[in-house]
Amino acid sequence: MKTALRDDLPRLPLYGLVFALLLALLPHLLQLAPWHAAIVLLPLVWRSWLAWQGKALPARWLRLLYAAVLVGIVLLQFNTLLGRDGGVTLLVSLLAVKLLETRQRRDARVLTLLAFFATSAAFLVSQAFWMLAYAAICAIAIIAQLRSWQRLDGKLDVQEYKRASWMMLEALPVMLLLFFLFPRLSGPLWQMPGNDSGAKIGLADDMSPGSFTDLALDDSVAFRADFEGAQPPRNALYWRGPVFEYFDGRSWQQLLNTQRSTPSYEALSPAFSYSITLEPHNRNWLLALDLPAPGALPQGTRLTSRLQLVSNQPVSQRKRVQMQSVTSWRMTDTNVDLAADLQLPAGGNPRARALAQGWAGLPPPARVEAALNYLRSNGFSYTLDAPLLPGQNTIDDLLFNTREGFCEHYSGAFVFLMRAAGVPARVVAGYLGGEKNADYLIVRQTDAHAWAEVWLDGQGWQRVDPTAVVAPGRITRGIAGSVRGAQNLPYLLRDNAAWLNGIRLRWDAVVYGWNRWVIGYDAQRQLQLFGRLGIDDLASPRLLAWLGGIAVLFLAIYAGLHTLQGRHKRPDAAQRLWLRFLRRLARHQLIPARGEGPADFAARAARAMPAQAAAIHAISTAYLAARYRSDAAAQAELTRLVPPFRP
Amino acid sequence: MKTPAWLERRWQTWLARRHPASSDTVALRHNRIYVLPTSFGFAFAAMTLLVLVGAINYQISLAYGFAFLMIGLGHASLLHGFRNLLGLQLTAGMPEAVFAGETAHFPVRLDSKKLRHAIMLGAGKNEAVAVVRIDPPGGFDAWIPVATSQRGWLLLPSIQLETRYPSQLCRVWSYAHLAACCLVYPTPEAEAPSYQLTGLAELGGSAWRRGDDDFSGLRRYQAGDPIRRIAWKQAARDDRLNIKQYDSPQSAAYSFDWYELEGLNDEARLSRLAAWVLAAEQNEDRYGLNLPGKRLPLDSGPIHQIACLTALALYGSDA
Repeated sequence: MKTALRDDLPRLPLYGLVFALLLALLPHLLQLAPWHAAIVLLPLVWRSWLAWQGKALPARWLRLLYAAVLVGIVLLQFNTLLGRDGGVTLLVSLLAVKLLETRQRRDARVLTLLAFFATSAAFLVSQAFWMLAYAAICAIAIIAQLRSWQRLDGKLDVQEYKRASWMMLEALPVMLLLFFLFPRLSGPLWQMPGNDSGAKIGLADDMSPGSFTDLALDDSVAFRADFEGAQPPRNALYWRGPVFEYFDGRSWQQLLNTQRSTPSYEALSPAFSYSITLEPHNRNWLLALDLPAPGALPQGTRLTSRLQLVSNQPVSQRKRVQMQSVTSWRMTDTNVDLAADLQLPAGGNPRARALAQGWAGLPPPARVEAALNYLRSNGFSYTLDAPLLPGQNTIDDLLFNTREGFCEHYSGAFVFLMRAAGVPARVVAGYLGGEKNADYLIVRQTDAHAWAEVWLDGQGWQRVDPTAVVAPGRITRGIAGSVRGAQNLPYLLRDNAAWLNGIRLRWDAVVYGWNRWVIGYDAQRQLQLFGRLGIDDLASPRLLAWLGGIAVLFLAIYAGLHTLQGRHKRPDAAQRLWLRFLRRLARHQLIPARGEGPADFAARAARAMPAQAAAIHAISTAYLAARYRSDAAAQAELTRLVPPFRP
Repeated sequence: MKTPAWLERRWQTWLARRHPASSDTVALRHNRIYVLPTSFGFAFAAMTLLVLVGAINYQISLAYGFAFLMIGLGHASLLHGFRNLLGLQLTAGMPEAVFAGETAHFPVRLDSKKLRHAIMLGAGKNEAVAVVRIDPPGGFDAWIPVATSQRGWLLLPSIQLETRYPSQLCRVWSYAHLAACCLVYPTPEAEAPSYQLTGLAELGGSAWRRGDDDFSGLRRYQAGDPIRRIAWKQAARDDRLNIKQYDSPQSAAYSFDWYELEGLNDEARLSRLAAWVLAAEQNEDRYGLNLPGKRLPLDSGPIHQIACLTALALYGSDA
């Protein structure tokens, strides 16, 4: 049947469409420069104004020019029309221009679809859980305006928004079911054009004096970890990250060449099972508790020759990894090239070199001990506001002049001393500790830490934390209890903000749950969930049984509701008594005829049974009063009269 | 897209079997309601797929969620559209008789216990005749126009009800076969020769009858008098309605005889007789019909006219 609705778009639904588009575009507009956002926004205002004034749409050349300008701006800003950011901005721009030529329902339909797309693309911007609520609001606005086109009066009122919200509620079960049951793929279908514009956060690619001091002031979350079963003690929570081996006299760099094979090692401690939910940091490395248990690498990761766990792709989305780690180990590989770990700049820091060379005669473990002793006993302090070390000999300045530093100072100086004393050593960056919340651990940027590793014959790489001797509290109590200058720490990290911290921890638990179950819900997580339900494969009979069971449940609920609706309302008290009265009379073949009211029937019954006439009359009068006048006294009378009535 | 004729026939037979025309009231039941996506619905599905592909490619869990929300919305639209038709009650009324070639208008009333939105109503594949919103307790009275070409009984074709409510994603439709029929009179012959000149039987009657030619006086208006004879000038003067009466010089009564119309085929005869019945009634002559197997005595007036036209309409049929 051909539609009989007019093809032009009435004014109010058009405003509804503009409103929905505005909501859908807003997260994208906030990403743009204000002037760019204004240019994209203009067509929305323009089109509404034209509709308000009842004026004609702008000429074709003007629309094309506007579109060309917007495309040009996108090209200038992103150098491409493809890719994530460029593509989305292009879509958003053209969507706005399309509004300028929208006069028919067909155009509005196209825009409606694009509005859905723009809403979903907003998740590229953020996946915080209010984003889902926001997307739901967008969807309600889109559906409401779509509904309003079906109205004969061409209006759009609050009712439509209410009904659209109802539709959303009805869509919810389908959504949840599919969300958890739809098979998740573990990788992209194809590689999208790269877009690494995201800023790098957290640990940096190199380490120089002061780089960790900045991190210590940043209380954003680096990752969260939850242990299955036992958790190592706090002072063993060394989360291992990038390894710095090359020292240029000022900063420590990672070595790029990783062609050497991975040294083998054996575990000396039981393996701890845990999973990490890593915040995106746009780099490849992952953070693992010390070393991954031999042979238990998570999927999509590898262990470099520096025993660093890296992902095959940069972590640009929040990532959840399940791991097993050992906190104590022994290298079984003796044939390791350690040249890079003895490297020192050609000159500089003569005093430190001299100090270290003094220990050269000791066996290597004793050299380590000697360096730690030196740091322990010479009045070094652990502070956030360490003086800048502007000179050429930064290690000398720290060790012999300022004697104030943060973890990067001490680990760097320690590794320098070790190398100068002939012990292979390197700096390892990562995080130390974490804050316990509910059943998991929050590790913040402020927990960033740097320590050292030395190669000891027979044991291989072993951890040495020079900060531990300068400020033992850092290891056992966390940064707030150990550092001098803690007033510079964010308020929430200080010890005196306990109550506020409590609220924040609770909030964090909510966010973590969201991240764990919604954002981080991937193929692995899905299998885990299925595993708990006893399903080990997507194509298993068990899954079919679950699906069938759910379908039957829904049908049963539906059928139940249907039956309830179909059934008459439960009779009220007066009615129940009256029905009882009728049953008593029915034994005497007195049954109300079709269409015979209570009064008429009572009169007939009274004629048929003159002996009971008075009682029958009293009951029928009381019933009529109780039922149709809601007379409480009559109700009581009925309750008194009916039970003893036995004709 | 054109469906082949044989398929269309099969389809119609199947529909007719599924929707028997049993009574003049039909309530749309769930097993008689059909749902298919509209082209917009297909586009929406494609967009959902696109969002899902994006979600998979960028591994965005919330975009997965949004794609599934869109699927849920499509599903909800389907159910809403379905419920919009479910339980709708149609009652066909008796249409007024028409002459073949005119359009018959079948009255159909739509009733519902709950609110209904944007239901398009039409006969067959033609353009919808009405877009209906029902706000109980009110119903909706629609007139289904059906073109006529043949005299006799015209059955109400199947009524198609369709809705794209609430979001145009699905086309939900159903058919109602209501047992209602319209009487179609034969088309009156356009340039029929005057029945007075045919020299047919001028049967007896009173010498003078009230006719149109000479004004003979006024009498009080009675219900049923033709309005054009009201003496309006008089009425303006004395506040009473009077009817102008005329004397006709001829008193006429005609019996229109089927057998006299030689040289014409059956339908042409019926056409001419219908034209004469109309003309005679117009002239307020008395007239009768003589058809094979049926005679209508001399009389005049609207009831007699209807009887005559009905006899002509149903000539040759069993009814």
